Amino acid sequence: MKKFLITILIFTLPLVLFSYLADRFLSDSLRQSRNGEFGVWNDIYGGKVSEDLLIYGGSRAWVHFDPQIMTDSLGISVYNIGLNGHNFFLQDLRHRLLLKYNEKPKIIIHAVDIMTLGKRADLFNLEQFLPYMTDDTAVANAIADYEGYDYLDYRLPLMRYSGKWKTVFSALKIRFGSKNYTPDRIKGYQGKDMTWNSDFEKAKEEIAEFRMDLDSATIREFEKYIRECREKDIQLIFVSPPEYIEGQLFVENYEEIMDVFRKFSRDFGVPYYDYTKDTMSFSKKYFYNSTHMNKLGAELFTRKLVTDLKRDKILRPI
Amino acid sequence: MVFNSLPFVLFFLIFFFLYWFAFKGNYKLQNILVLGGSYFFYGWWDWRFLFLLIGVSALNFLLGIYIDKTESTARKKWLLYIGLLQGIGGLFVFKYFNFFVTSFIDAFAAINISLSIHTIRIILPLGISFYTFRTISYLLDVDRGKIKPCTDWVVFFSYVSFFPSLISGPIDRAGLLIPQLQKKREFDYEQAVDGFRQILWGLFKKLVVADNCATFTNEIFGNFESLPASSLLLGLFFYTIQIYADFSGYSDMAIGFARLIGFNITKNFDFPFFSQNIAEFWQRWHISLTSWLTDYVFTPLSIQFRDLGNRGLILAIMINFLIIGIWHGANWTFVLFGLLHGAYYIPLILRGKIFKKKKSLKGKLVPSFTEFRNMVGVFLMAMVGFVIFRADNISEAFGFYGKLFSSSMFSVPVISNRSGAVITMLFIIVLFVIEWLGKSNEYAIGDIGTRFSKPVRWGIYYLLVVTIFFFAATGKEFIYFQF
Repeated sequence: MKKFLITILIFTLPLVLFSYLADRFLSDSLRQSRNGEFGVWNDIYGGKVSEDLLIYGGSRAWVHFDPQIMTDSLGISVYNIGLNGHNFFLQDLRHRLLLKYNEKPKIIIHAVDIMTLGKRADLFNLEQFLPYMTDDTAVANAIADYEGYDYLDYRLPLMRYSGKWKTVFSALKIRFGSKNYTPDRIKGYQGKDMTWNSDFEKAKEEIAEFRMDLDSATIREFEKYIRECREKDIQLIFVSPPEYIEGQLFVENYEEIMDVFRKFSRDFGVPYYDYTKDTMSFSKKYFYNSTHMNKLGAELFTRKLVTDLKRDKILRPI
Repeated sequence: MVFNSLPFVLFFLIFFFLYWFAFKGNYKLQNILVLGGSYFFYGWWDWRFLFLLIGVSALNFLLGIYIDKTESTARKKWLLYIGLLQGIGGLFVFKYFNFFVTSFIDAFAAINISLSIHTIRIILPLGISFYTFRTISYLLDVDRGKIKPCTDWVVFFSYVSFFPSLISGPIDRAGLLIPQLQKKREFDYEQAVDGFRQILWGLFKKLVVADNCATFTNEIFGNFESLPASSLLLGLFFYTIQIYADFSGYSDMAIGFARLIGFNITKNFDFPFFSQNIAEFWQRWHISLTSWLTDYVFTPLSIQFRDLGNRGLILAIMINFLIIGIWHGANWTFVLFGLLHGAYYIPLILRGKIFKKKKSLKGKLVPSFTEFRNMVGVFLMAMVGFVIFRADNISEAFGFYGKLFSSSMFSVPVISNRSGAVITMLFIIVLFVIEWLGKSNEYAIGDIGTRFSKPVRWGIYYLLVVTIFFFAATGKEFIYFQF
């Protein structure tokens, strides 16, 4: 028995050492990534997001607001930190980290939609938190309540990388591959060169109608965030990008949710640009599914937005 | 509490140290620990069914003793029938009641008679098919005089609920496990290391091969109506591998954990995809079930029907496979699955090849063309059968067949995660190569201990650990838990 236990111990020691080293190696490699959500997180942690105007929101920020068009037209620097697949709860985490590691923005355009004030149970795209979640308690605390990582993932080295071979391959590629690659997100924005797909039709087949539940804690946090922006002298603007009309009708309480933003806009004097009933929302050619515009739609929408912002002289001078 | 979960690892660590340190040298105390541990393991899932397990154990324990004690043959039979009634009745109530009720209603509805019999909501107790078969074989063996009844209730209860094989088998016979429970167990370094090795291999099969295959089979079987035949073929291939790697991987782990506490339990798989015909396949697939049915169903039936010649043999085989099918669950798909495999035997019976011993491929590095063709043939037959096994109902199975055998077979498969499919395919190849090279062993990497030097051996172990760690597709239950 003694021999067996000693053998097990000797066998395990290199694995323990490996887990520490591999964890450091993988996390450090991913912290060098310029692609996807890693790219945005790394820019935030690296203090590289010092633009005057920032785009906030979920996926509808990410694929709809082209910072290049905005910069060319408005003459100010723009960065899109839209967080794909997540509600305000984690958008707020990104906002807080941004303020911690970067200069505060002068203006925030917050893309608001029916998902903003909800809270999903699962930790969508959970790989994006891998390099930061054990080093940064703000990240760990924010994601702890989601279904995704277990107790030991936060506490044992490498544990959270279990089964994530694709992320491991990405890390190896970042470390050993060419450094001269074009990131998929330019200033955080990623135009989608796609045509209408079957996502919406599939959703309709599965459920007749969709109801989005609002999360009261998230609503409170959202209100707090609006107040903080005011206190920090950050100009906040709400924008609801176009959304394919049938998709809007599919959501049972669509108008009820949008009314919440209208009320916030009124109560706090936040300008609100709502494009959900814009003519673009009636044409499939600008979308790849009911909620996301393709590159063609996104560029047209961004141009419309900057035209409207200029027309209304809404942006404060920088 | 599944083997590849943190609660089980903690449970087993505590169990292991108590077993070999606190209760060292005292097998009676070790048996109490085995029993307590088994009940804890079972109760972790649902403590309410623990009472059923204890009740079943108590009844069969007493029946075994009284069957042996009783002089009267008629009385012996009655006692045996009580045991069989409890075993089969328990399965009927928990597993098949609703199936029979709905089938009955459907049959009458077909002739326009509407019946209003209500089904009841029944939760299937985990492992019931496995421990019921243990108790039935125990009583039959006692009745036939093959074994003496167990008079130590701790030993018997431990036999029925032995945790490594309680939930998903192997279905151990009393003749194998009870004698091991009745004697002193010494810690054996080689046996423990071998147990660890087999667990490692089982984890690779389950987490890396089976669970990665599951990602694709779930996607393809879930959307088969909208996919081309080539995708369906790929999905079916993955499913065939998945079910093998899942179940044999679980069995490897069960055997490995048993070996770590000094027990040798029944081998459940013997490289079935290297079989030369379907009869050999079933001698190598889920061995503990098929040998059980051979002993208690097929052999008595074939003796009963011996005057009917080949027709009798076919009848015995069909009944045997009908039971194999329905053992898996209360669904007409399993009935059809069993009958299909029974039908696969008919050509072998008619050509007089069913009992003909095939030349062993063990030790052979390269198979002949005929041997390779036979292996492919067996694999294809298994694949065809697994369509029915996987389907929710018969019409879905035939829908799948209809879509599968169509011209889109020659198109490029549509699959959402191509890189994942390539990696999975790579691991399947690795699995088959290692299994082929290790087919003479108890399990594929069973000879590593004697074949390689320590650095090479440990290198292989580390490679396996790292592969399992990074490539495991987690979150999928063992398929055979549902049976």
